[in-house]
Amino acid sequence: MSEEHVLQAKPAFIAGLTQGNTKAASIIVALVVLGSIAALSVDTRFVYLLVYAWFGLIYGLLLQYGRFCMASAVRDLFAVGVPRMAVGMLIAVCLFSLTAATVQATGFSTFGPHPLGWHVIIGGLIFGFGMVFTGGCASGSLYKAGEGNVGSMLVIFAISFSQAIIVAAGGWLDALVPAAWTASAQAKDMPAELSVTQGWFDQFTAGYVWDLKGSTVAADLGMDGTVAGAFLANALLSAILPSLVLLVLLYVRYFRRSYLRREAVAPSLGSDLRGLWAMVTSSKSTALAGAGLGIFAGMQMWITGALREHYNIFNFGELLAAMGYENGLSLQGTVFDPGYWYITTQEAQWGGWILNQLGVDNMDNIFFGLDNGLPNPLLNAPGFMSIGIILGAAVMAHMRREFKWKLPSLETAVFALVGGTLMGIGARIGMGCNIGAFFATVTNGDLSGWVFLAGMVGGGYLGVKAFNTWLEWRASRSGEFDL
Amino acid sequence: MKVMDQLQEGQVIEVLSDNPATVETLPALMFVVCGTHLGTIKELDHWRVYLRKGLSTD
Repeated sequence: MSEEHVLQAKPAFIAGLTQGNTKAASIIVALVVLGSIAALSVDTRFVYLLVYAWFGLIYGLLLQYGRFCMASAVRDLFAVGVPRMAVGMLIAVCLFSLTAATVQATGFSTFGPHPLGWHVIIGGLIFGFGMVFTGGCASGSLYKAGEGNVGSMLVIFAISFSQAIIVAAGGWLDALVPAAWTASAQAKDMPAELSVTQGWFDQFTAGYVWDLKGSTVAADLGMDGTVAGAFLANALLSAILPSLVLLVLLYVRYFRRSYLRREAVAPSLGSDLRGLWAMVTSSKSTALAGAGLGIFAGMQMWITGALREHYNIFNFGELLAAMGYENGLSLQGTVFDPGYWYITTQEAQWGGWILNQLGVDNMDNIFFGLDNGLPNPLLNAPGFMSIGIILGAAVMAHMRREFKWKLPSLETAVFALVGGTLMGIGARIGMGCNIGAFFATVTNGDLSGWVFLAGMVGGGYLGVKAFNTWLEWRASRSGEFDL
Repeated sequence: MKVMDQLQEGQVIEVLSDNPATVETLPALMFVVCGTHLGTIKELDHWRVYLRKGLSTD
């Protein structure tokens, strides 16, 4: 094949993106519109839930467009030295921090800082390790499911049920709980229904996590609630400066040498700045997706905050109760309702709700019984955000002719289930995933997210090493040619 | 990566993939290993990606 022929093929590829299956994409959007109208016709207050659903749809469109996945970011870095996705992620962090600061300044922020302790880095480590084997992070698995990837659906299944089981598990796991956690949990005089001295996760939560402090940079500097605190402390110091440092490190480690050689220029401050910009803009779709995700994530928080003020509520559970849906509410009358982009907790609720319907009594723990509730999936607002991500990704995949039902091999299915289980366990120990424990925290001034990222990257590094060892062992046995 | 190591400077390799993320990563990979991404063709259910060892002389 001649080079000329290949180069002429490039426009055909781009043209293909606009000649996708618009019919299938239109049907999905029409179904979401019809579903939204049906929900509003039942009760207009379901607009609160629909905000989650539609922002999920937008996230799905953007995630698929930029092939945005933190598992790819880690794998590409450590397996082949490509910083493309890590760069996109950092762009998203910078922009979300600015939109989040705007929301904080207007007083509509729904964010609460995460307690910082060893659990954050340990959770990140387990999550990152598992993520490499599934081939997708929490949000990446959702968008890949929207592309028709059945393996990613198995990952979601594993994340859901592993969390649902781990937060309610007792038995021999209780023997591993330090006595200090049990004593601390007992001293908190919790409702008897929760039996907090039984079940390791309850004791971990009430006896350890609740004794830790969560804070934002603005609060630490005495600037909480001010515009300067939002923009200078929570955005600039917590998110933008660390992101810029990481971008420079990525450039020096992975991009600079090839850039200077390719451009045939001598090292200088000017050439390095141009090289840094070339790295940031090297994958326009990833950079654009990162920018869009950052902006829309802030908008979602602002709109949800405004709706809470409009309905004079603190949590969606109050609205559900007012509409007559009290089943599945927690002891406090709440449900999981972060008001911003989140992935894993609503997936835990899906698994937990199914187990509950099968007769498992799993409302006697803090995670479901006191904090997040177990609402019917049809009333689970953040759950609809995850469904929206799947549907949004399906729309984009159809439009780009990239939707394809893809069945996993036995090996891929096992990796999806085992890796997804590790991700679920890591998410619960670390109190979130790559979105809830990292993306949403650092952008709102909570430095615990960088600790989670450090753990996740460390786990990802170990995962890549383990995965490569597996591939080499398998190739040596079968004599196949590995890449 | 191992295949690229076995190529002579200027030789072209065709990679077939049905993984969108891989298709997106390969051009970026060529940049950091000083190879050249010649083009990508979308087929019905997969992509053909053409990569050349060494920098473009265009």
